[in-house]
Amino acid sequence: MALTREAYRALEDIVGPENISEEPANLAGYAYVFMVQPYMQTPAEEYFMPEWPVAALLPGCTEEVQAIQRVCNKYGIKSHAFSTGWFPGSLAGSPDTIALDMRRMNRIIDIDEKNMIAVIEPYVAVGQLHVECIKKGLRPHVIGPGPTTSSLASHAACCGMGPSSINTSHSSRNILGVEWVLSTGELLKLGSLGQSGEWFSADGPGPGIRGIMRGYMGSFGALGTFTKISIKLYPWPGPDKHESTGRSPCYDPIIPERMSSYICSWKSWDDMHEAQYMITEAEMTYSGDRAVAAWHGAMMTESNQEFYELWQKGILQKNAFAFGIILGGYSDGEIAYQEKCLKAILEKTGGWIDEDLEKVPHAKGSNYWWHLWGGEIIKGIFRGTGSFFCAATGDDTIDNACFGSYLGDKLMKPYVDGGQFLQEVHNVWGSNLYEQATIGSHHEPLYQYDPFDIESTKAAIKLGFDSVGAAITEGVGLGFFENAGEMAHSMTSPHAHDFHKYMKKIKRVFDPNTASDPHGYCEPE
Amino acid sequence: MAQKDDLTKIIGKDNVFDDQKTLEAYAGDESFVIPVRPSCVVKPTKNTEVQELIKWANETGTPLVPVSSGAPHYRGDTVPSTGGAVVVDLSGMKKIIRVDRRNRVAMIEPGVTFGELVDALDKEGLAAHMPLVPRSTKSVVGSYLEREPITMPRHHWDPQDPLLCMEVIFGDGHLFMTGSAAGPGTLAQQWENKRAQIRPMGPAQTDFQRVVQGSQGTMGIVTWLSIKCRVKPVLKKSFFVPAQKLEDLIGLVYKMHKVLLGDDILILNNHNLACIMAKDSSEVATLKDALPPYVLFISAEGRGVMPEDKVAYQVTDIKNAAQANGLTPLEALPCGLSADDVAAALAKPSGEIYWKNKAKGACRDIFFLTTLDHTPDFVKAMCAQAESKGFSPNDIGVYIQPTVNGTSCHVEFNLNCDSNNKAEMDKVKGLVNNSMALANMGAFFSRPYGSWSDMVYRRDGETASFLRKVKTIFDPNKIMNPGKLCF
Amino acid sequence: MALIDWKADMVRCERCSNCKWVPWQKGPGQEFAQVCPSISKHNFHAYSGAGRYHSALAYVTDKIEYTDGWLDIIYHCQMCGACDITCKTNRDMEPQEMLLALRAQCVEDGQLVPELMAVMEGLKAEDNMMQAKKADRGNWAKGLKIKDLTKEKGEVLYFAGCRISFDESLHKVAKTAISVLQKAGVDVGIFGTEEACCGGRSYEMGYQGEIESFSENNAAMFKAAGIKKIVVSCSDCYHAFKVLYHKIDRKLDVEVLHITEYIAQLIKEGKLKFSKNVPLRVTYHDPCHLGRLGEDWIPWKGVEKKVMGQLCLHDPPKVFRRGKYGIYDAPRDILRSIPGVKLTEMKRIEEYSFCCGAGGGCMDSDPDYSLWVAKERVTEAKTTGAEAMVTACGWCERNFSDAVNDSGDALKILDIIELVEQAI
Repeated sequence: MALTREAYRALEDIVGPENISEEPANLAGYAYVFMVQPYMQTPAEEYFMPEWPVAALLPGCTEEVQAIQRVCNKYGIKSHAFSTGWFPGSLAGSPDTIALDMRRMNRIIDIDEKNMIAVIEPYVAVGQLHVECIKKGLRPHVIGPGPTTSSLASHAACCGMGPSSINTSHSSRNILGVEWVLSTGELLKLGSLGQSGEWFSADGPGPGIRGIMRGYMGSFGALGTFTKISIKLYPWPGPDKHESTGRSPCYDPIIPERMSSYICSWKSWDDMHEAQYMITEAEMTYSGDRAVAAWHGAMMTESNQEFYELWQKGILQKNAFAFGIILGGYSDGEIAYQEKCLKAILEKTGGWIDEDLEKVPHAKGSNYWWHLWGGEIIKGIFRGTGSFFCAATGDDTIDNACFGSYLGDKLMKPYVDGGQFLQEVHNVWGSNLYEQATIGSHHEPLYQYDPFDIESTKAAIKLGFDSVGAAITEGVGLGFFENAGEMAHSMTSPHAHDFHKYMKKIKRVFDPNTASDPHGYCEPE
Repeated sequence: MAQKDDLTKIIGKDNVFDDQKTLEAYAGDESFVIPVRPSCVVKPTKNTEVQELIKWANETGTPLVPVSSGAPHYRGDTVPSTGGAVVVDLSGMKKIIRVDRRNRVAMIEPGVTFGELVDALDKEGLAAHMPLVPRSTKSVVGSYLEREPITMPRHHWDPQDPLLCMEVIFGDGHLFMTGSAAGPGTLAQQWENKRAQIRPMGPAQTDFQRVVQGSQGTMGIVTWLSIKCRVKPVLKKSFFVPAQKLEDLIGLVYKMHKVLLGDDILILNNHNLACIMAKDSSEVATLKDALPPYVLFISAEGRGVMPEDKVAYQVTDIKNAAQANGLTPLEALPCGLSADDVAAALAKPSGEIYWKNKAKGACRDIFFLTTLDHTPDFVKAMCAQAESKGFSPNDIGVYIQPTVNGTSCHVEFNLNCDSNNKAEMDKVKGLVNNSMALANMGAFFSRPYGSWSDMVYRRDGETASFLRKVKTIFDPNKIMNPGKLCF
Repeated sequence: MALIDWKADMVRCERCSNCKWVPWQKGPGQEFAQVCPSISKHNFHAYSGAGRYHSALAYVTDKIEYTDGWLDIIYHCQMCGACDITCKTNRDMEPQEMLLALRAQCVEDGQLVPELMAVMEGLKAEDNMMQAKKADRGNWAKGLKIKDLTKEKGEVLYFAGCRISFDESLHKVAKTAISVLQKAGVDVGIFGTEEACCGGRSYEMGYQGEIESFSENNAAMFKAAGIKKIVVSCSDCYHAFKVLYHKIDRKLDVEVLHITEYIAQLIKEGKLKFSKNVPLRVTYHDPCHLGRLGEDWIPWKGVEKKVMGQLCLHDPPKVFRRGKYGIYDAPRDILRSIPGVKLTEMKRIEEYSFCCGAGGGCMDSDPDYSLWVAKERVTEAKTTGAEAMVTACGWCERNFSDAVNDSGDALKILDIIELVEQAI
């Protein structure tokens, strides 16, 4: 239902007429993203979210967000904050919801080099932050979706695994301070920020409120809007500026001194995962995650045609169980240790670095970029077919990831053989070995489907649903990102101590008027 | 009597205590909180007993005060704040449920002490993440739930570390497991599926364990934790970097974080180092005089496929970094104290005499979080404040512990005192209870025990209001440790 | 192709938002990271390449209808090609083609922008995009001793283009070009008053019929004059002759060169030498239609086919134009070889250059917006410490000149040919 004129005027008074829109063509942009159908379990023919926002707003500061939230409470509207919007959870999904496009709040407020902390607003893209940080010998955690995504959204409200997780963890673990506009419009500042205005610690005083804010996944706007965040930064051994050669579409990096890029391969999941145990115990790599054959093949080629020709050569398939690695040392001694260690681990586990693969022109370069900021994912996962979804994930040990990978292969096989998905080999991403695998590994059996092909999309929807059950039945985990939203929780929560009952209470207590869109979280109790 | 009968049915008569001596023992602790006698002390041995207990407490409106460490206690959080409370002493739950070398994780019950943990892990080729020489009766679960910092900032990725998953019975009586332990399947099924309860986040969109951590038992009772361990190093090199002033060490510590060097990284003043290393009280003064005013302790551990190489490059890089900062790392101090001995001391709990009590028989702590660059200012401020109250700065131990990969820093002042000297204790009490000046300088009292609670929650009413709402979710009848924090 | 033919692209746009940003490998930090002028100003997602994909999809799936608001979204776009190129660093998609089809659909459906209608009426009546009298077209050449190719034959045609012909302050560009070419011994001629629009800008406004007649007329004129080589100073004309005419199956049988290409050739052949010192700190602005949109058209007729289950290929294989072969080096080579000139690059250059703001009809339909974009670019230019921003397109020069005049900036705006003349 459209906004009442009174509500519209109240919102317009806050942001100004140029920053509010009810134009349907504008709203279409806030109702579309990839993977809507398998994620929302909507019909294959319906490309858009079932619910569109009733208006889009562009707030410019925290005070405006608070004021908007108060209007929402008053008029029975819901808000849904939206930064770069690269996930269905980012989009409005309930009736009477306004999209808060955070694009005008785009400042890097501070990069504290000594204490390795960055303070940012919602529309700072990971790629921007990365470039500013490396000037100071630092880098942020980056998530798989890559450099166009909002660093704040990933940390505060969304997912969090990425190619560099081995040394930069998961977004939920990198939060140091949060400025949070609650669903009621009140402003909460977590931890030291609330005590003294400093950004270094979000836990306490007493219990960690950020446990309410997010878990493995975030709240996707259901608990209010995060207007600033401080995050951990990590050391960067490379130069203060990236150098590259070439023009669109492939910019080849000049890999800096004391850094190396490798794609290492093994004969099987088991061998590769054994090596991962050794890699993480030795703490010898700067970055590393699974190099999926078709992905990395796509990343290292300029077009689908070129990728297909490379695929025909068989080099990628020969290296189906591969792990992309970036070594990076802060001293000659360290890089020498890493190189030596890698060689030893490969020897011990029957791994190799394929010479033919190394010779593919953009192989090393695309692997390097991927690990720095995840950007090559667009080439890797979208160029081929247009979209993807995941089967049967669950994050815990490397062994569990191995087990999950076998399951993923098995679940996808009938659809791959049937031509509904890309015929990849062992299309399981992950091995994001969080914190040197001390808090486990992510794995994500991916299937690449064509959203323009109804049969392909139907298969994606079906497998998306079935795989949650399979993950649970087989004991791999709770399914795709432990699922967000009411429907997903109804499937998983009974197998996990009814967690959603607490989530519903949280929603009721902190959003008594349901003034924040619950669709990516849960309905209130 | 009815209460005791109820409790006996739940816990068993051997584990229910209401004699005066026991009640007195649990009424107070070494902190300055006002003692309040519980009505009963129970010592459950199983999680089912804990769950029944909580359900009973909800039905009867009885406050429960959990405690897992053995005495003496120092923070006041395990002392009842209201009358009629039942203390739930979990120190008898001593199972080390599982040690998983491959995944570097252990699962332990609340009563397991650091000494017990270290021994069990050692057998499996693992080592524990240690806070600074904990007392021998300290519960590992208690320490980790309190977010006590560990001595290795590079291994401390999150304030939550080394805590991974937990089994908790919330104040509403619901048994819950957090993180990847939540499911699917029972623990046994999970182990069969090669899951080891090592992913702390979740389940789903809430980090339940964060809400329990730091809560001083006000949200529920934890009946096991899975905890990060580290592979026992094959080789370890340790160094002192002595300095006359704390300021002189700051640059080197920052450098170490920036290039990911070192395992143990901590700074102690001569007082604290002497207390830790002296055999007994008589040796403290002599050793202290022989030590430099400040010492940065660094270690480099080697593990994995090439432990010697790992240590070798770190040693070179540490030495180069020190030199660049005008400092010299030493394997031993001129007084003969060896860094290896300190490393050994840090790897286990304190001996019979808790090191903090060695100098004068007692000690009270003031601790908070800040960033490393501000630590010298806090030391100056603390000393000035002490002097103004007539308390000698010479009796203050200083412990600076970088945390969370070096993004923040735990600062701890250990006020050594004689508990029989009332005048001195009054001064110490005044200093501990009036930490506002430090808070005004930016000290973050993230673990607000005793009077600090009032201070922190007055400064941030929004957080207090939020937490009270959180409490209604997990402990709707407010039976869990009422009167603590802002509850 | 019609708009509906782009539905597959619309559905496959996953919203990565690369269309908004300079390619990440080129290190855009906090500043000058955005590559799309439209969303830079308007902020709503709909104003990006992806946003227009999404609104187009909503239209072809009957979720939305034409509204003034949608036309605002469609026409507040310079058609600069930035989203096209940055999308294509990762995807095999054609955002620019979809945008052209979208505009054509609007025109076909009678969804017209009044300001652009006025421009089109002028084009139809007077053969130019400037709403000026055709009779004044040749005024810039008054007094020049130059061959009239409507009367004589000649091999090299200098085509001035609408902007330069009718914008008095830009006459110097054409005059200087002629002067330089003549000094290099080139037997160059012009059409003068008889010159007619290339048809390029109207095509990008959605009026795809006009270019048919203009291209036919121009081709006939070129043939009649025996021309072998067309040289242009205007990047829009360059793009029209080289790319669009080929696209509409009217590939010219002549060599099309931008003046910078030609100058670079002449230098290489030893026909032009720089002997004078021109001490000036400059930065160079890559015009969209010379750079990323200046690549040769690659004709393709075929179908999409699937291999490996769902991998999208084309049959026959389609080569995507990704901006790699635009004209970037020639202007820079020229600048670097002029003694005294110090070139400092802006952050957004070459195929990821930030538009001047003049294109796509925006100068006519929303001059304030067009000027805003130009000012953004001027701001970026100033960060290089340059005394002058040099470019190679009359539309860019006009918009930048208006921008610096409006804000009272000291930055000089120069056409590259002016520096060439100073140096010879």
